[in-house]
Amino acid sequence: MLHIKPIFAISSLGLVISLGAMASDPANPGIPIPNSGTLPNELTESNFLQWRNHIQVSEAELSWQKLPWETSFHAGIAQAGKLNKPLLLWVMNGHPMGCT
Amino acid sequence: MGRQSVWTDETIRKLIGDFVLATDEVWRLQGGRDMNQYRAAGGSDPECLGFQDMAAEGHYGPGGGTKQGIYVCSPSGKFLGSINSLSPQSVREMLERSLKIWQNLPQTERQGNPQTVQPAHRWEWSSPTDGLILKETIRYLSNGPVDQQNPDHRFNFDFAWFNAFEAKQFLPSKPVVGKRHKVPEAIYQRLTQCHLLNTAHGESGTYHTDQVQGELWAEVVSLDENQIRIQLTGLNQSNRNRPVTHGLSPPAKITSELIGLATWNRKTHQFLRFELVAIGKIFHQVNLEAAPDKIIGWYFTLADPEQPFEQLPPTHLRAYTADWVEQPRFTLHDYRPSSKEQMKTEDNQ
Repeated sequence: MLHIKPIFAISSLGLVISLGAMASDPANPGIPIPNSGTLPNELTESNFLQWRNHIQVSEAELSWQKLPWETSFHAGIAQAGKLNKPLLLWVMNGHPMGCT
Repeated sequence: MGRQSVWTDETIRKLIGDFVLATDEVWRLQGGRDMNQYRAAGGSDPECLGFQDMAAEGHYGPGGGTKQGIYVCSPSGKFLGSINSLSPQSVREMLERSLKIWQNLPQTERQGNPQTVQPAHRWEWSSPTDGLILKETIRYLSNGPVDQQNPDHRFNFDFAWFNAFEAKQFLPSKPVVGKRHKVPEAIYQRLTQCHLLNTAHGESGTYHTDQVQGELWAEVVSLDENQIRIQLTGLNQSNRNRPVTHGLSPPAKITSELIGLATWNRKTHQFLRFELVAIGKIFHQVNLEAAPDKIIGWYFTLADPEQPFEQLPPTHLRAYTADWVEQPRFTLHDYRPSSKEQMKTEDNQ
């Protein structure tokens, strides 16, 4: 169970923020977190799991990751040689299995 | 997302059984912006050279610039086909053509020595296996207040690393229930500069040390002789206080709050559980009156040691201030933008 201390002050930023009051961002007073209506308007100890579950990726979204990808060119070449198969190499700026 | 549209296509999934599948990060393989400059400057990593020789016959040709895409080659490194497309049909046609070439290729031309593409350096080699390896999931949570009709749910992944010494810095040196411990600046800065970024849609540049302000705290919730349980709370504000110099510069401002829970095993000196959620607002203009352009969420949890792709290095590992990270002999990241790109400023982003 989360157990948040309510007030967290950072004077150097000119901020005094309650962690239970995400909606009251001092840079944007009164502007709530916009969402589809299924999410809470703040990040608190009581809705931590709700936010986590919303950010997490579903199995359906991850189906492309379930393929047996080697994670480097040289590992792919080695495995292709072992199996006498051609190598299908997918390369991106940022690793396709990570941040791309 | 492109990676979903192609690889979930049923006809492609049937076809790829005839191939060995591999993925990799291309900036390093292609030698940065220009493989010719890379080689002329002394770049000689065999894995990179092997890729460059093969990809030079592909859809982007032998010159500089990006080599992103899908390639098919033999184990000997012989180019068989390539494409950069999100169209399942186009990818399927390329795979079929490549497979025919492969089937007609003499056995003597198929096989090579994998040692010839053995890398000289990979960031994975610095993995802190006795430390803390986190998987980071990043997802947009809305489009902001302007466009609620078409919510943006794109997501992405990254990884965050801390060596054994750094992992222990999340905990107070003398744990007492209820006692709050300010997590050292170096840990907070790594998280905020290199990880609380606008990356749900793709890559982003990092913030510098003087561009992040905030704190991360840990409070001991409970402890016994085996475990210490802590709650993490934090605040951050990142400001890009300098002009945009290239396309990957981070947003003008990101504000975020963090809440998490972690359990430390006092016997093994490892985290048994680590969960940290951060919710942030992204601003593309430094205007305190403006509404955020995006709402974004980040979730950090323990990477699965059995999943090979969860052992990938953090995207910005090179930017970590960490002497345990083995640097390559030849860095690709001292790129200086052209004068044309330097003229692109914050005003016209």
